[in-house]
Amino acid sequence: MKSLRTDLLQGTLDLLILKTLSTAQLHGWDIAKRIAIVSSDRLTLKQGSLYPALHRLENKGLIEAEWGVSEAGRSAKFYRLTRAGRKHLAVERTEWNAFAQAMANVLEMEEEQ
Amino acid sequence: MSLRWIKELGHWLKALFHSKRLSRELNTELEQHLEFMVAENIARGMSPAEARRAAVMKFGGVDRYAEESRESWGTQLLSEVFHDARQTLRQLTKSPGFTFVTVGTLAVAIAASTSIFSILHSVVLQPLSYRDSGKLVDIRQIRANAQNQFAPNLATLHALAERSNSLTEMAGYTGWIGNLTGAGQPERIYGNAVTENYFSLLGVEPMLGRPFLASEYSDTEARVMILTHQLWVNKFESDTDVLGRQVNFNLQPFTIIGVMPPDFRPGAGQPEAFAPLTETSLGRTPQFLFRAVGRLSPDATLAQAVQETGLISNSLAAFDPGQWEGLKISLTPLLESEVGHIKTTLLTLVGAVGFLLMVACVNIANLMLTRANTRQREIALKSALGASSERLFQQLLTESMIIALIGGIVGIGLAFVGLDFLVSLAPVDLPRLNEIGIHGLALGVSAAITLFTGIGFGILPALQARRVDLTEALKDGSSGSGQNRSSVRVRNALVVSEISLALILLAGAGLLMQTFMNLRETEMGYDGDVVYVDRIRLLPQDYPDNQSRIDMAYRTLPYLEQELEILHAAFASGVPYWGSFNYVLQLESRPNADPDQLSRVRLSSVTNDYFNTIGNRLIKGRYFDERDREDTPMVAIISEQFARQHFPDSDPIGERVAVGGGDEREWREIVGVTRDIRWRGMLDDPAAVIFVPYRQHLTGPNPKVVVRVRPGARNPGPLIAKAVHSVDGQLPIELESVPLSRYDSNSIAIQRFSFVLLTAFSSVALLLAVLGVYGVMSHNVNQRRTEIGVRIALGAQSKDIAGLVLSNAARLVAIGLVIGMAGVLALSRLLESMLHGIEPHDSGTLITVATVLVVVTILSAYLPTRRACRVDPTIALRSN
Repeated sequence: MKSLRTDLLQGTLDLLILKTLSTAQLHGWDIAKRIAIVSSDRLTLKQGSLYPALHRLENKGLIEAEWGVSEAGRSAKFYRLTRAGRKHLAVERTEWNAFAQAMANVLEMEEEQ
Repeated sequence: MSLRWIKELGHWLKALFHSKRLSRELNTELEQHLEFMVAENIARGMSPAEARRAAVMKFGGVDRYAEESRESWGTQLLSEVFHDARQTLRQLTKSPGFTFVTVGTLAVAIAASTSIFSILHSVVLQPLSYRDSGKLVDIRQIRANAQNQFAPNLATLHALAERSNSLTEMAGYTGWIGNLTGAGQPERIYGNAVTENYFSLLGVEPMLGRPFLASEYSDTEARVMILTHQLWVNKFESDTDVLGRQVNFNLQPFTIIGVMPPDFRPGAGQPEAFAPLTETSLGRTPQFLFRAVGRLSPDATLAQAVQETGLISNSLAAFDPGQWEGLKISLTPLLESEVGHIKTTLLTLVGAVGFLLMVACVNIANLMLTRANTRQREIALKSALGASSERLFQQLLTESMIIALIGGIVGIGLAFVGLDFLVSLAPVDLPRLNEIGIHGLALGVSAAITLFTGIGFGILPALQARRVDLTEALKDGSSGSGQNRSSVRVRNALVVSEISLALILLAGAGLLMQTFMNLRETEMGYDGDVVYVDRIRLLPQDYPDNQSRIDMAYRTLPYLEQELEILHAAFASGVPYWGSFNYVLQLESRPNADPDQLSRVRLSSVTNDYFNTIGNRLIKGRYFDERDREDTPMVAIISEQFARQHFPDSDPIGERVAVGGGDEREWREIVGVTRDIRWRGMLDDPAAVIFVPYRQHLTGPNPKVVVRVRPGARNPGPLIAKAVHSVDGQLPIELESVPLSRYDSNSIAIQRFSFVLLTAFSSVALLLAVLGVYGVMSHNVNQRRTEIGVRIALGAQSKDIAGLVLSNAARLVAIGLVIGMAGVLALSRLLESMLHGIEPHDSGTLITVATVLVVVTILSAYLPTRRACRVDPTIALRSN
């Protein structure tokens, strides 16, 4: 059984991937790279853990993939968001913001006491 | 939403069917990611080897993520199951003994239960194939003081039908029997003459043609008939032009107007044709019915109808006491009245087959456990190498499911063969025999059993496997089988339950076997093996009076007697299984004799050699002889039972009895008493019979020719036909090709059926119990080899070792026996109604079956014991 923590992390990772793919069609290495750059390397993850997440999202139909040629001239698997994925991202983002807002409220309240 | 679901399914299917390609692509994808990382590291100035190492570190376990990605495809479980299945099949072919015994046990048990359950379902549970058949009731009347129930006569039925609200409709039929001519060979037809609403009440319609019309009941010139499907096929070769054809029935022209569908075979009588219940069809006024059926109105219950008919008959008794006084109407659901007599037998057999199934399951559980024990090392090794306990659990479960599946499939296959076999064993008068087939419900039950066995017996060893102590199991020299105490206990408990279940089945079989033997020993009062009976039809125009019929008999007898094969021959109006007549009787010295008992005395007029022919002897008095003619004093011979009933403490010889009532009565002197004779089979009590000389009584148009043949002689039918035709070349004869003993044996066919099946079931159970004891004992001996080695090294003799092993076996058998006996005592009461001449707790039978069980199971411990005695202490001790 997966622990709550893993579930939480997984959900976060899914959201990060969806967000990253919302701007471009990318292969795995690019995705890892972008997450690292955008989060200023604060969100470190084992790069391999990206792949189970990618395959899971692909199976759910939130992203789709096709084989193409990378900028380095090698064949690579490119992922992009599907319509369902875009919708899912929007929902998740709202929820995440609400969650973050709620967390922030709670934490601030504690500081006041 | 649903679209997404379909997409996911699409992915899943793609993953399932292209798993190899997808795996390859996944590897490429991961490899390229690594290469990007390596390239980046080299750009930062690392050496290629260093770059690769750092990349792998940062990536995390490549194999692990590949595995996790594959899992996300959701096909993992299935491919694992495939893998396990392949492995199981490989292993099963490697140990054919185990495979054969497990699959065989399961298959036999499933076949037996499927076919027995199919019979129960087809015969007893399935509704009759009439419209809304649950609402149909069989109507009978019981006269006060009489034990027999009869169908009400037509007048009673009409009276009830007029007044009842809870029964919407009533119909009935009587026998319509006669010679069918004008269509190929003349043939005797047993049909039913039915009331106008008979077919519509049952909700059946002719397959060809039409039902009877109202006008055919009122028109005295209308002679029409409807054929059953069987008669149409056999006699009219399924000719569709048969409608409108004229045939002769008892020399009257009848028009065929319809053919019933093939599945319409009402009741046990199995009629061949139908005619309207009218004076025109019958040639006499319709009065008595063979059977009557009613249909409950939609909102009435059986209890309401019973109450209402009770009230009706009470109120009618006030107006017409002769007809209604003391008359009770009984209503039985039609299904119950048709199959009630066999229900207990079938339910008992289903119970027995359930026990057999339990024994089989226990045996399989035992085999699985043994196997799991010997494989503990393999399992421990796998788990040491990193197989998760879920994965092992899954593997063991898959294994047992596969064994169950094969057993189930073979079993259901066997059931189809077995059912035909069972039906061939089944009593000839088993109702609805033609409807028996393997039904969905029975198949469902088998499938459930299979599934249950698979899961149930997979879980037990699988649970044990999870508790394996790795270090213990892998330790060198523990002979590949870490044995723990709880597993020994489980296996011992299984063997004990097997023994007790086997004992219950054996006891049941023993009691039924004893019943059957008792019945076989029944003194019938005739030598059934050598007595044949055929019936002649004397046509009224050729034999108009009594004298001509008597002459016919006495002219025929010499022809019969000159045949070498025929030892004795006689003519009779009544012969066991071939009917008899009932007359009003009076006893001169006992005017107050119970009239009801007297009314049931059977009368048969017989020629002089009758008693020698059937093989009955007189206990006292004399036989009929040449003295007893039309013009000499009238005499009679009575049966022992008659004498017991009416002359319990006096000599009946010389007593006078009147046959017939009123002016027609004729006084006869009793001149002899015969040994008891049974009239309707082995289950019947001895009949009270009065025999009168052939010449001194009215002879009917259907006399029976009875012959006694030389032992081992062939069917004398042709000889009888020859003799009869020497006297009258045109006479139709019903030739019966079997001796009376065949009827005797048919009369206990239900008992034979249940005895044979229960014996078969209990033999299989005994065999399984033997296998179980053998398996457990050899396993125990293997486990204790070291201990036995030490004992032998310390000077124990063979007999000590044998005692050790045997006492172990004896303890299991003894416990099983005690539990089994308790079960027998609790359950054998259920058999009571099926037993004859034996108590359900008959100590002789119980002791015998217990002895058989003990001897056989202890013997099965012989081989393991011998192996134990031959343990070589040096080897046994060194191996540890």
